[in-house]
Amino acid sequence: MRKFLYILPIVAMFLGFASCSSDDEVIRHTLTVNVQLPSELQTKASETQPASLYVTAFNTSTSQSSVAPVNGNSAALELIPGTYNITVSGELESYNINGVKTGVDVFSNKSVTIDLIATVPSTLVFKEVYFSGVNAYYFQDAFYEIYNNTDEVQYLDGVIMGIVDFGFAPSSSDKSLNSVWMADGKYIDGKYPLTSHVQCFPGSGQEYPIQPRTSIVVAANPMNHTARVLAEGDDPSPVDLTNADWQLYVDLTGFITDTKFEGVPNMTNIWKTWGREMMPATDGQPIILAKLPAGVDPVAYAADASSVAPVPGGTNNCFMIPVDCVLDAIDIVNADPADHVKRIEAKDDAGMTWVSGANGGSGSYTGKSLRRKVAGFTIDGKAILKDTNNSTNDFVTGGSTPTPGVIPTTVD
Amino acid sequence: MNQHLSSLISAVLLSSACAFAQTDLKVDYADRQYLGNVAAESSNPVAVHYMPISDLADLHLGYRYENGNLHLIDGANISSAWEASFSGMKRVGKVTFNGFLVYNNSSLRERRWNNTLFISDRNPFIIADSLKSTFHPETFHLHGGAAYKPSDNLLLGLAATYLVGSSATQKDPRPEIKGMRFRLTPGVEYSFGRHAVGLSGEVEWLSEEVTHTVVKTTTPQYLLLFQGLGIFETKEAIGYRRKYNGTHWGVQAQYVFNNSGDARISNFLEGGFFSEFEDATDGKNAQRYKGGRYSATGFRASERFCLRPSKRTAHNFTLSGSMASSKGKWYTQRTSTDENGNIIYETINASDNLEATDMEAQLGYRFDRLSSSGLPLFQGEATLGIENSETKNKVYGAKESYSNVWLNLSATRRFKIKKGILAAGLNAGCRMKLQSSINLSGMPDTYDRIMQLYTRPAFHAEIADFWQAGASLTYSLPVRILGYSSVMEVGVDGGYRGRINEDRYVGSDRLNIGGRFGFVF
Repeated sequence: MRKFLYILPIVAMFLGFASCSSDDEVIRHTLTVNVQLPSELQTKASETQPASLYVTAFNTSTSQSSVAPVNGNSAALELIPGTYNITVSGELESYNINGVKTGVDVFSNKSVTIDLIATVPSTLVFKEVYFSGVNAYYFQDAFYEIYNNTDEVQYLDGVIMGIVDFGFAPSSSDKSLNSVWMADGKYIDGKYPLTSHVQCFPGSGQEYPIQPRTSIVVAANPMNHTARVLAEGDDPSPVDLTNADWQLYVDLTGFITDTKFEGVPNMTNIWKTWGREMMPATDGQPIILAKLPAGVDPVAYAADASSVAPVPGGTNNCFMIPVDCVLDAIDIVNADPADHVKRIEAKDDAGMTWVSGANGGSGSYTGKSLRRKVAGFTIDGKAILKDTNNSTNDFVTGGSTPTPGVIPTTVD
Repeated sequence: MNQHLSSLISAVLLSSACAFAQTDLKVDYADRQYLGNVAAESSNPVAVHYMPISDLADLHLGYRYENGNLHLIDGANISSAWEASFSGMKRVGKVTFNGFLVYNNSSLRERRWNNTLFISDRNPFIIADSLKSTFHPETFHLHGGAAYKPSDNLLLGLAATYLVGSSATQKDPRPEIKGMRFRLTPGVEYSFGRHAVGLSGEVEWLSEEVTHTVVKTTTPQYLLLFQGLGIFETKEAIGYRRKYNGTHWGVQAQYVFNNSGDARISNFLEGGFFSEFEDATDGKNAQRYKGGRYSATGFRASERFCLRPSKRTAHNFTLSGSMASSKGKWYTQRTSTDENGNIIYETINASDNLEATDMEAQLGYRFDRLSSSGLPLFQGEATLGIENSETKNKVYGAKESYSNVWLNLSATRRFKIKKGILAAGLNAGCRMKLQSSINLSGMPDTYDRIMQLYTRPAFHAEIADFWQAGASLTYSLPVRILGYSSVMEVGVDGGYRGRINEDRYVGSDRLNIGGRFGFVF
């Protein structure tokens, strides 16, 4: 026993030495975000402090977000090292205030300045889009739901719906790379490049009204997809699109032919390159609603050769539409944070949104849609959809079960 | 590398094939070598000069089977291994050669979380998948060394060790692993009277490549690129390749007192320092992705004091300690394109985000009662060890630390049965944790699942309290083969390890049995 006692001091010394390590060191860097209001609003801001203006830093490795309020003209965030997408959101009177800067490397204390953009809420907005499909490789059940988010009648006549080109680098399909069409967050020639199919509502001006606070559903195939006969490995589709208001008939020549459903009006396929359906990639792709200036016929515009341009460094053509014509846009990206690369200008969508799969992975074939949140209700109980010009805030994060034609009755 | 290989094989053959003498002394020669050379476990290759038996060859075939779920997180539930070994020693004039060649062929069933072979145990940059599969590692381990005594006071030594192997599985994602470690160990010793001082060095190179294939391409398969404490990145497995390259170097100094087999008092003291790094690089050509750099520095010291009050009794007291401080460098990279439009990974930051410290100390005592020829008739040994480990991630503030103490007791008794000698051994021991803590509260939500599946089970496997016991029987019989006198050895052993406290993250027990058969010439 006495011999054993000799050992105890050695053990105690060892443990004492082992516990002498330095205090826990955790790396944090301060990111100072300076915001710059548009000149036309600076006077208003001096009179009325922008309400709830805040900065969100999204870590592209961990998908964690840090939020800080703007005090004065800046906000400070304590961040772990990493690359961040920074967004600024808020309101000033009737304006949505937004700003965005992506790919900000924070590996030391630093500051960035973000120019803010003031926009007014859109009249027509996407209430919901469903494009992820279900196993196995069934995406014919896609739909788009467009909502009149005003208290006045709006018209669908001439409204264009399109899918924005990824702008891949030559010989690449890497979505983590910036679009070759863009520089500094803006399209170089001031036009969105649309790909696959471009569809347009017919009508000369006031033929297709959409009543205040109501929606219309545009289906790739207006049928009951839940009744699909399943084979091994198939998952059932979550949507019944029998009551869709419009259909997207894709007028392709060749061996792939789309089905035309009688009794459901077609949008006009004004331009096409490829794709058996008009829909974003199942893991996400930006989409827009646009309307050309008064007096410009979309069909004639599409037929004009100057409306088409090849991808820089490539040969594939895209349909080009001025960025000023956009009514609403959603910057839909793959769930993988590495692919959170903006392809919609901040003035049209200062954020990004996505459908998540298992463990935060790709949302392909998950049967989930992207639905815009409800911000509130009018006196007569009609939904006011959230439209802060930031899809990260405006849409249900990660997607949800599709609800075509159903307007939520509770605030999100 | 072929030159290294041929030189090693030559040394092994020279040291082994020529040694056919002193057969009666070769029963249990390993213990005789240990007792007769206080520097037997020295890092310095000159130590072989002092081995009391300088002419021997050993040829053995062994098999081992293990079954049980009490193992480290990346261990196999069931493993079996065949091993063939050929080793020997030969003194030619002023030069003593030694060497071995070991071939091992294993089957590791129900294994996951590690698709590597020879990288350092401390390296956190492990490439892995989460699906259990059967690995089939096959390794060759060659060692050749020589000690040269050009004068009465001077000894020069050089040893080379070559470890090469491969491993693969037949379940998607299928890793094919090829690895190599090559080590050179030069050494020198100067003696004056009963004292000797030595200096040795070591330099080692690591090269390992892991490529993945997926046969059933309809199901996407993903790999985990670990960065320590379970933090990972994922990459699609099909065609994914990782290469590890590393270097290790170290220096040791020795002091030896009275190193002769019959000295009443002798002593060996060694202290050394090492430094090493291993780089993980993924992809090919311009599209290189840096998986991370592991680096470590450390020191170790050991002391052995041998007391022989009579020719029939030997007491050996040992004390050793080591400490290693390691870092894991993370690279933050972004894809971009070069001037030719090729996609490249651009490094935008590199930071030592992972830090670990591992310490170990060991105190041992061994008693031997010897026959008149020096054979240990009874041998008893007790070892008390203590270890401490601390790992922390500086980005998320995650941290784990633990201290364990362990005790092993063993006894071996040798009986003369007819013309042979039967060695019967028993051993028992336990490991108990002294303290443990793990704090993962700062980890992002995205790692919740891997924390439950990997990080916590890995930690609990390191700290699980267990007891263990085993027994062994070895029968050694002098025989003549083709006119040469030799010792035939047949041995079996078995052991059982059982967890003491309930722990939902760790398995309950593990059994191992083995056998070996061979000849010593």
